[in-house]
Amino acid sequence: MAIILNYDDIDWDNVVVGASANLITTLPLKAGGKVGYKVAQFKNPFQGTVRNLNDGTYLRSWDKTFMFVTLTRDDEQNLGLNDPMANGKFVAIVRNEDPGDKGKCRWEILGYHNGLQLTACDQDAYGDTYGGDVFTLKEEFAARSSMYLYNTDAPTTEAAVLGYLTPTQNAA
Amino acid sequence: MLEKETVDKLLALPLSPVDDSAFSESDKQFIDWLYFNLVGKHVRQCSCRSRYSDAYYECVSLNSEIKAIIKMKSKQRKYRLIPGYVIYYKGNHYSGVNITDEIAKEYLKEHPDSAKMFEIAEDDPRVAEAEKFLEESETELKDAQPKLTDESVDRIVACQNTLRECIEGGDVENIVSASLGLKAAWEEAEAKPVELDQDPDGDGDGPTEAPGVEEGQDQDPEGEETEQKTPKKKSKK
Repeated sequence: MAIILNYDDIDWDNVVVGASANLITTLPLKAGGKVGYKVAQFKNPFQGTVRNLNDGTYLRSWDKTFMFVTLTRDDEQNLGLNDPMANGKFVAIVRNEDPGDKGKCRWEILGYHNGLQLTACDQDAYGDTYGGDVFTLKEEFAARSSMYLYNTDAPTTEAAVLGYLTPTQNAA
Repeated sequence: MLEKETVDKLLALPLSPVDDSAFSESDKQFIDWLYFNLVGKHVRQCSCRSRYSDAYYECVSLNSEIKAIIKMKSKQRKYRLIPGYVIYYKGNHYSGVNITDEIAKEYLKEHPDSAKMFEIAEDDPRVAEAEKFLEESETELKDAQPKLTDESVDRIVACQNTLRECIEGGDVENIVSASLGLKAAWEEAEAKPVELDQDPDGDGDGPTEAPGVEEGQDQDPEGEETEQKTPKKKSKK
Protein backbone atom coordinates (compact mmCIF):
# COMPACT_ATOMS: atom_id res chain seq x y z
CA MET A 1 0.00 0.00 0.00
CA ALA A 2 1.10 3.55 -0.63
CA ILE A 3 -0.39 6.94 0.04
CA ILE A 4 0.16 9.77 -2.40
CA LEU A 5 0.07 13.33 -1.10
CA ASN A 6 0.22 16.56 -3.01
CA TYR A 7 3.57 18.18 -2.25
CA ASP A 8 1.97 21.57 -1.71
CA ASP A 9 -0.65 20.15 0.66
CA ILE A 10 2.02 19.35 3.22
CA ASP A 11 2.43 21.83 6.04
CA TRP A 12 6.22 22.01 5.73
CA ASP A 13 6.52 24.59 8.52
CA ASN A 14 5.28 22.08 11.06
CA VAL A 15 7.18 19.01 9.95
CA VAL A 16 8.96 17.43 12.90
CA VAL A 17 12.21 15.56 12.37
CA GLY A 18 12.92 12.80 14.87
CA ALA A 19 16.04 11.64 16.64
CA SER A 20 17.70 10.75 13.36
CA ALA A 21 17.80 13.12 10.42
CA ASN A 22 16.00 10.66 8.19
CA LEU A 23 13.21 9.79 10.60
CA ILE A 24 10.24 12.11 10.29
CA THR A 25 7.89 11.96 13.25
CA THR A 26 5.20 14.32 12.00
CA LEU A 27 4.41 15.13 8.40
CA PRO A 28 1.19 17.11 8.71
CA LEU A 29 -1.04 18.32 5.93
CA LYS A 30 -2.34 21.86 5.78
CA ALA A 31 -5.72 22.65 7.28
CA GLY A 32 -8.71 22.84 4.97
CA GLY A 33 -9.67 19.33 4.04
CA LYS A 34 -6.42 18.09 2.55
CA VAL A 35 -6.23 14.34 2.25
CA GLY A 36 -4.01 11.58 0.89
CA TYR A 37 -4.86 9.08 -1.83
CA LYS A 38 -4.43 5.38 -1.29
CA VAL A 39 -2.81 3.16 -3.91
CA ALA A 40 -3.27 -0.55 -3.36
CA GLN A 41 -1.88 -3.20 -5.63
CA PHE A 42 -2.08 -6.94 -5.76
CA LYS A 43 0.94 -8.63 -7.23
CA ASN A 44 4.45 -7.19 -6.97
CA PRO A 45 3.24 -3.85 -5.68
CA PHE A 46 5.17 -0.86 -6.98
CA GLN A 47 7.52 -2.99 -9.05
CA GLY A 48 10.16 -0.76 -10.58
CA THR A 49 10.46 1.50 -7.56
CA VAL A 50 14.20 2.03 -7.20
CA ARG A 51 16.85 4.33 -5.79
CA ASN A 52 19.98 5.32 -7.71
CA LEU A 53 23.05 7.35 -6.94
CA ASN A 54 23.22 10.54 -8.93
CA ASP A 55 26.84 11.27 -9.61
CA GLY A 56 26.86 15.03 -9.98
CA THR A 57 29.79 17.22 -10.93
CA TYR A 58 30.21 18.78 -7.47
CA LEU A 59 27.99 16.68 -5.22
CA ARG A 60 26.50 13.24 -5.19
CA SER A 61 22.82 12.87 -4.46
CA TRP A 62 20.00 10.35 -4.88
CA ASP A 63 17.40 9.77 -7.53
CA LYS A 64 14.29 7.92 -6.43
CA THR A 65 11.76 6.35 -8.74
CA PHE A 66 8.27 5.40 -7.65
CA MET A 67 6.14 3.28 -9.96
CA PHE A 68 2.57 2.11 -9.72
CA VAL A 69 -0.09 0.84 -12.09
CA THR A 70 -3.79 1.22 -12.55
CA LEU A 71 -5.64 -1.86 -13.63
CA THR A 72 -8.62 -0.51 -15.44
CA ARG A 73 -9.60 1.69 -18.32
CA ASP A 74 -11.83 4.32 -16.84
CA ASP A 75 -12.85 7.80 -17.95
CA GLU A 76 -13.10 9.19 -14.41
CA GLN A 77 -9.69 7.81 -13.57
CA ASN A 78 -8.18 9.47 -16.62
CA LEU A 79 -9.75 12.76 -15.67
CA GLY A 80 -9.12 12.59 -11.94
CA LEU A 81 -5.75 10.83 -11.82
CA ASN A 82 -3.86 10.85 -15.12
CA ASP A 83 -4.41 14.49 -16.03
CA PRO A 84 -3.60 16.06 -12.63
CA MET A 85 -0.68 13.65 -12.23
CA ALA A 86 0.93 15.04 -15.39
CA ASN A 87 1.56 18.47 -13.93
CA GLY A 88 1.69 17.87 -10.19
CA LYS A 89 4.36 17.36 -7.60
CA PHE A 90 3.88 14.62 -5.05
CA VAL A 91 5.11 12.82 -1.98
CA ALA A 92 4.51 9.08 -1.63
CA ILE A 93 4.47 7.19 1.64
CA VAL A 94 5.12 3.57 0.76
CA ARG A 95 4.66 0.58 3.03
CA ASN A 96 7.71 -1.65 3.10
CA GLU A 97 7.24 -5.35 3.80
CA ASP A 98 10.48 -5.33 5.79
CA PRO A 99 9.82 -3.06 8.77
CA GLY A 100 13.45 -2.81 9.87
CA ASP A 101 14.49 -2.27 13.48
CA LYS A 102 11.39 -1.69 15.68
CA GLY A 103 9.34 -0.92 12.61
CA LYS A 104 11.23 2.28 11.86
CA CYS A 105 11.53 1.48 8.16
CA ARG A 106 7.93 0.35 7.61
CA TRP A 107 6.77 3.60 6.01
CA GLU A 108 9.20 5.15 3.54
CA ILE A 109 8.74 8.67 2.26
CA LEU A 110 9.61 9.28 -1.38
CA GLY A 111 9.75 12.81 -2.73
CA TYR A 112 10.41 14.39 0.65
CA HIS A 113 13.14 16.71 -0.59
CA ASN A 114 12.23 17.72 -4.10
CA GLY A 115 8.90 16.05 -4.78
CA LEU A 116 8.05 13.28 -7.20
CA GLN A 117 7.15 14.28 -10.72
CA LEU A 118 5.71 12.18 -13.49
CA THR A 119 8.33 11.19 -16.02
CA ALA A 120 6.41 8.46 -17.85
CA CYS A 121 2.87 7.18 -18.10
CA ASP A 122 2.57 4.21 -20.42
CA GLN A 123 -0.52 2.42 -21.52
CA ASP A 124 -0.44 -0.95 -23.17
CA ALA A 125 -3.86 -2.07 -24.30
CA TYR A 126 -2.55 -5.64 -24.76
CA GLY A 127 -0.65 -5.85 -21.49
CA ASP A 128 -1.97 -7.21 -18.22
CA THR A 129 -2.92 -3.75 -16.95
CA TYR A 130 -6.14 -4.20 -18.92
CA GLY A 131 -6.07 -0.74 -20.43
CA GLY A 132 -4.68 0.88 -17.29
CA ASP A 133 -1.46 2.86 -17.07
CA VAL A 134 2.01 2.36 -15.69
CA PHE A 135 3.00 5.54 -13.87
CA THR A 136 6.63 6.44 -13.27
CA LEU A 137 7.35 9.29 -10.88
CA LYS A 138 10.83 10.48 -10.13
CA GLU A 139 12.55 12.61 -7.51
CA GLU A 140 15.98 13.85 -8.48
CA PHE A 141 18.87 15.19 -6.39
CA ALA A 142 17.47 14.08 -3.02
CA ALA A 143 19.87 14.89 -0.23
CA ARG A 144 19.32 11.66 1.66
CA SER A 145 19.06 8.13 0.42
CA SER A 146 16.01 7.29 2.47
CA MET A 147 13.45 9.07 4.59
CA TYR A 148 11.06 7.25 6.90
CA LEU A 149 7.92 8.17 8.75
CA TYR A 150 8.21 6.94 12.30
CA ASN A 151 6.55 8.35 15.40
CA THR A 152 7.25 6.77 18.80
CA ASP A 153 6.35 3.19 17.82
CA ALA A 154 4.69 1.12 15.12
CA PRO A 155 1.04 1.60 16.28
CA THR A 156 1.44 5.37 16.58
CA THR A 157 2.97 5.56 13.13
CA GLU A 158 0.20 3.37 11.75
CA ALA A 159 -2.41 5.68 13.30
CA ALA A 160 -0.72 8.69 11.70
CA VAL A 161 -0.69 6.99 8.30
CA LEU A 162 -4.36 6.08 8.54
CA GLY A 163 -5.06 9.73 9.32
CA TYR A 164 -4.02 10.69 5.79
CA LEU A 165 -7.00 8.84 4.42
CA THR A 166 -9.56 10.56 6.59
CA PRO A 167 -10.96 13.78 5.21
CA THR A 168 -11.29 16.63 7.65
CA GLN A 169 -14.47 18.58 8.23
CA ASN A 170 -14.10 20.91 5.32
CA ALA A 171 -13.43 18.22 2.75
CA ALA A 172 -15.93 18.27 -0.06
CA MET B 1 -33.66 3.47 -1.77
CA LEU B 2 -31.66 1.83 0.99
CA GLU B 3 -33.45 0.35 3.94
CA LYS B 4 -32.95 1.82 7.39
CA GLU B 5 -31.16 -1.30 8.59
CA THR B 6 -28.66 -1.04 5.74
CA VAL B 7 -28.07 2.63 6.43
CA ASP B 8 -27.51 1.92 10.14
CA LYS B 9 -24.98 -0.78 9.31
CA LEU B 10 -23.21 1.52 6.84
CA LEU B 11 -22.98 4.21 9.50
CA ALA B 12 -21.52 1.70 11.94
CA LEU B 13 -18.64 0.80 9.59
CA PRO B 14 -15.23 2.43 10.06
CA LEU B 15 -14.99 5.68 8.13
CA SER B 16 -11.84 5.15 6.06
CA PRO B 17 -10.67 1.57 6.37
CA VAL B 18 -7.15 1.00 5.08
CA ASP B 19 -7.36 -2.77 5.23
CA ASP B 20 -9.59 -5.52 6.57
CA SER B 21 -8.27 -5.25 10.12
CA ALA B 22 -10.70 -2.39 10.66
CA PHE B 23 -13.71 -4.68 10.14
CA SER B 24 -15.33 -7.13 12.50
CA GLU B 25 -16.70 -10.44 11.24
CA SER B 26 -20.24 -9.05 11.08
CA ASP B 27 -18.93 -6.01 9.15
CA LYS B 28 -17.32 -8.36 6.64
CA GLN B 29 -20.53 -10.33 6.22
CA PHE B 30 -22.43 -7.10 5.65
CA ILE B 31 -19.89 -5.85 3.08
CA ASP B 32 -20.05 -9.17 1.25
CA TRP B 33 -23.84 -8.95 1.19
CA LEU B 34 -23.77 -5.33 0.01
CA TYR B 35 -21.14 -6.05 -2.63
CA PHE B 36 -23.14 -9.01 -3.93
CA ASN B 37 -26.27 -6.86 -4.19
CA LEU B 38 -24.52 -4.01 -5.97
CA VAL B 39 -21.92 -5.73 -8.10
CA GLY B 40 -23.44 -9.18 -8.47
CA LYS B 41 -20.49 -11.17 -7.14
CA HIS B 42 -18.94 -11.99 -3.79
CA VAL B 43 -15.82 -10.38 -2.36
CA ARG B 44 -12.79 -11.92 -4.06
CA GLN B 45 -11.11 -14.86 -2.41
CA CYS B 46 -7.39 -14.29 -2.07
CA SER B 47 -4.85 -13.82 0.69
CA CYS B 48 -4.44 -10.06 0.52
CA ARG B 49 -5.34 -7.87 3.47
CA SER B 50 -7.67 -5.46 1.77
CA ARG B 51 -10.31 -7.63 0.12
CA TYR B 52 -13.20 -6.22 2.12
CA SER B 53 -11.95 -2.64 2.24
CA ASP B 54 -11.57 -2.67 -1.55
CA ALA B 55 -15.11 -4.02 -1.89
CA TYR B 56 -16.31 -1.35 0.52
CA TYR B 57 -14.70 1.46 -1.52
CA GLU B 58 -16.09 -0.04 -4.71
CA CYS B 59 -19.60 -0.01 -3.22
CA VAL B 60 -19.12 3.61 -2.13
CA SER B 61 -17.97 4.65 -5.59
CA LEU B 62 -20.74 2.74 -7.36
CA ASN B 63 -23.73 3.91 -5.40
CA SER B 64 -24.41 7.62 -5.00
CA GLU B 65 -26.71 7.01 -2.05
CA ILE B 66 -23.99 5.18 -0.13
CA LYS B 67 -21.53 7.91 -1.11
CA ALA B 68 -23.90 10.52 0.35
CA ILE B 69 -24.27 8.56 3.58
CA ILE B 70 -20.51 8.22 4.00
CA LYS B 71 -20.09 11.92 3.24
CA MET B 72 -22.74 12.81 5.81
CA LYS B 73 -21.06 10.57 8.34
CA SER B 74 -17.70 12.22 7.77
CA LYS B 75 -19.29 15.61 8.35
CA GLN B 76 -20.85 14.72 11.67
CA ARG B 77 -17.77 15.27 13.77
CA LYS B 78 -16.95 18.74 14.96
CA TYR B 79 -13.30 18.15 15.82
CA ARG B 80 -11.01 16.78 13.14
CA LEU B 81 -7.38 15.93 13.61
CA ILE B 82 -5.46 17.19 10.59
CA PRO B 83 -3.94 14.29 8.63
CA GLY B 84 -0.37 13.63 9.67
CA TYR B 85 -0.90 14.47 13.33
CA VAL B 86 -1.35 11.80 15.91
CA ILE B 87 -1.97 12.26 19.61
CA TYR B 88 -1.34 9.94 22.51
CA TYR B 89 -3.97 10.38 25.17
CA LYS B 90 -5.01 8.18 28.09
CA GLY B 91 -3.07 5.22 26.78
CA ASN B 92 -4.40 5.32 23.23
CA HIS B 93 -3.22 6.70 19.92
CA TYR B 94 -5.64 8.90 18.05
CA SER B 95 -5.49 10.13 14.50
CA GLY B 96 -8.19 11.50 12.23
CA VAL B 97 -9.56 7.98 11.87
CA ASN B 98 -10.57 7.22 15.43
CA ILE B 99 -10.72 10.46 17.39
CA THR B 100 -14.11 11.42 18.76
CA ASP B 101 -15.43 14.85 19.68
CA GLU B 102 -15.39 13.93 23.38
CA ILE B 103 -11.72 12.89 23.32
CA ALA B 104 -10.78 15.96 21.27
CA LYS B 105 -12.55 18.29 23.72
CA GLU B 106 -10.87 16.68 26.72
CA TYR B 107 -7.48 16.75 25.03
CA LEU B 108 -7.81 20.40 24.02
CA LYS B 109 -8.85 21.34 27.54
CA GLU B 110 -5.63 19.83 28.86
CA HIS B 111 -3.45 20.91 25.92
CA PRO B 112 -4.82 24.19 24.56
CA ASP B 113 -1.59 24.75 22.61
CA SER B 114 -2.46 21.81 20.39
CA ALA B 115 -5.38 23.61 18.76
CA LYS B 116 -3.38 23.98 15.54
CA MET B 117 -3.55 20.21 15.14
CA PHE B 118 -7.31 20.31 14.82
CA GLU B 119 -9.84 21.64 12.39
CA ILE B 120 -12.85 22.69 14.39
CA ALA B 121 -16.05 23.06 12.45
CA GLU B 122 -18.12 26.12 13.14
CA ASP B 123 -21.60 25.47 14.40
CA ASP B 124 -24.13 25.62 11.63
CA PRO B 125 -26.58 28.53 12.19
CA ARG B 126 -29.42 26.20 11.19
CA VAL B 127 -28.63 24.00 14.20
CA ALA B 128 -28.78 26.95 16.61
CA GLU B 129 -32.08 28.08 15.08
CA ALA B 130 -33.51 24.59 15.33
CA GLU B 131 -32.42 24.28 18.97
CA LYS B 132 -34.13 27.56 19.80
CA PHE B 133 -37.28 26.53 17.97
CA LEU B 134 -37.34 23.16 19.74
CA GLU B 135 -36.97 24.82 23.13
CA GLU B 136 -39.80 27.28 22.38
CA SER B 137 -41.97 24.47 21.09
CA GLU B 138 -41.46 22.43 24.25
CA THR B 139 -42.31 25.38 26.50
CA GLU B 140 -45.34 26.27 24.42
CA LEU B 141 -46.57 22.70 24.43
CA LYS B 142 -46.62 22.62 28.23
CA ASP B 143 -48.85 25.70 28.30
CA ALA B 144 -51.02 24.80 25.35
CA GLN B 145 -51.47 21.09 26.00
CA PRO B 146 -54.96 21.38 27.60
CA LYS B 147 -56.21 23.24 24.54
CA LEU B 148 -54.98 20.65 22.05
CA THR B 149 -56.33 17.28 21.09
CA ASP B 150 -54.42 14.17 22.10
CA GLU B 151 -53.75 13.44 18.45
CA SER B 152 -52.21 16.88 17.91
CA VAL B 153 -50.10 16.60 21.05
CA ASP B 154 -48.82 13.19 19.95
CA ARG B 155 -47.92 14.53 16.53
CA ILE B 156 -46.11 17.55 17.97
CA VAL B 157 -44.19 15.35 20.43
CA ALA B 158 -43.21 12.99 17.60
CA CYS B 159 -42.00 15.92 15.49
CA GLN B 160 -40.09 17.30 18.45
CA ASN B 161 -38.39 13.93 18.95
CA THR B 162 -37.45 13.77 15.28
CA LEU B 163 -35.97 17.26 15.43
CA ARG B 164 -34.11 16.46 18.64
CA GLU B 165 -32.62 13.33 17.06
CA CYS B 166 -31.47 15.36 14.05
CA ILE B 167 -29.86 17.97 16.31
CA GLU B 168 -28.15 15.40 18.52
CA GLY B 169 -26.96 13.40 15.52
CA GLY B 170 -25.64 16.52 13.77
CA ASP B 171 -27.82 15.67 10.78
CA VAL B 172 -27.92 19.20 9.40
CA GLU B 173 -29.44 18.12 6.10
CA ASN B 174 -32.62 16.90 7.81
CA ILE B 175 -32.84 19.55 10.51
CA VAL B 176 -34.60 22.00 8.19
CA SER B 177 -37.22 19.49 7.08
CA ALA B 178 -37.75 18.32 10.69
CA SER B 179 -38.26 21.97 11.76
CA LEU B 180 -40.77 22.49 8.98
CA GLY B 181 -42.56 19.30 10.05
CA LEU B 182 -42.83 20.57 13.61
CA LYS B 183 -44.08 23.93 12.40
CA ALA B 184 -46.73 22.23 10.27
CA ALA B 185 -47.76 20.09 13.24
CA TRP B 186 -48.28 23.23 15.32
CA GLU B 187 -50.30 24.95 12.59
CA GLU B 188 -52.47 21.90 12.17
CA ALA B 189 -52.96 21.59 15.93
CA GLU B 190 -54.02 25.23 16.24
CA ALA B 191 -56.43 24.89 13.35
CA LYS B 192 -57.96 21.72 14.67
CA PRO B 193 -60.50 22.34 17.44
CA VAL B 194 -60.15 20.41 20.62
CA GLU B 195 -62.95 17.99 21.38
CA LEU B 196 -64.01 19.15 24.78
CA ASP B 197 -66.26 16.21 25.32
CA GLN B 198 -63.08 14.48 26.27
CA ASP B 199 -62.91 14.10 29.94
CA PRO B 200 -59.33 14.64 30.99
CA ASP B 201 -59.85 13.97 34.68
CA GLY B 202 -62.00 10.93 34.05
CA ASP B 203 -64.69 11.86 36.53
CA GLY B 204 -67.40 11.93 33.91
CA ASP B 205 -68.16 15.59 34.24
CA GLY B 206 -66.51 16.80 31.09
CA PRO B 207 -63.58 19.10 30.80
CA THR B 208 -62.06 20.64 33.86
CA GLU B 209 -62.89 24.29 34.25
CA ALA B 210 -60.52 26.84 35.56
CA PRO B 211 -61.18 27.52 39.28
CA GLY B 212 -63.51 30.36 40.01
CA VAL B 213 -65.18 30.28 36.65
CA GLU B 214 -68.81 29.48 36.55
CA GLU B 215 -70.23 27.20 33.97
CA GLY B 216 -71.38 28.99 30.84
CA GLN B 217 -69.36 32.03 31.80
CA ASP B 218 -67.04 33.24 29.10
CA GLN B 219 -63.43 33.26 30.29
CA ASP B 220 -62.30 35.46 27.45
CA PRO B 221 -63.71 38.94 27.28
CA GLU B 222 -63.20 38.83 23.50
CA GLY B 223 -65.62 36.07 22.97
CA GLU B 224 -65.54 36.08 19.19
CA GLU B 225 -61.84 35.46 18.97
CA THR B 226 -62.08 32.68 21.48
CA GLU B 227 -64.80 31.05 19.49
CA GLN B 228 -62.59 30.96 16.43
CA LYS B 229 -59.60 29.52 18.18
CA THR B 230 -61.14 27.31 20.79
CA PRO B 231 -63.77 24.74 20.26
CA LYS B 232 -67.40 24.98 20.90
CA LYS B 233 -68.03 23.89 24.42
CA LYS B 234 -70.42 21.13 24.85
CA SER B 235 -73.10 21.96 27.36
CA LYS B 236 -73.26 19.72 30.34
CA LYS B 237 -76.32 17.60 30.51
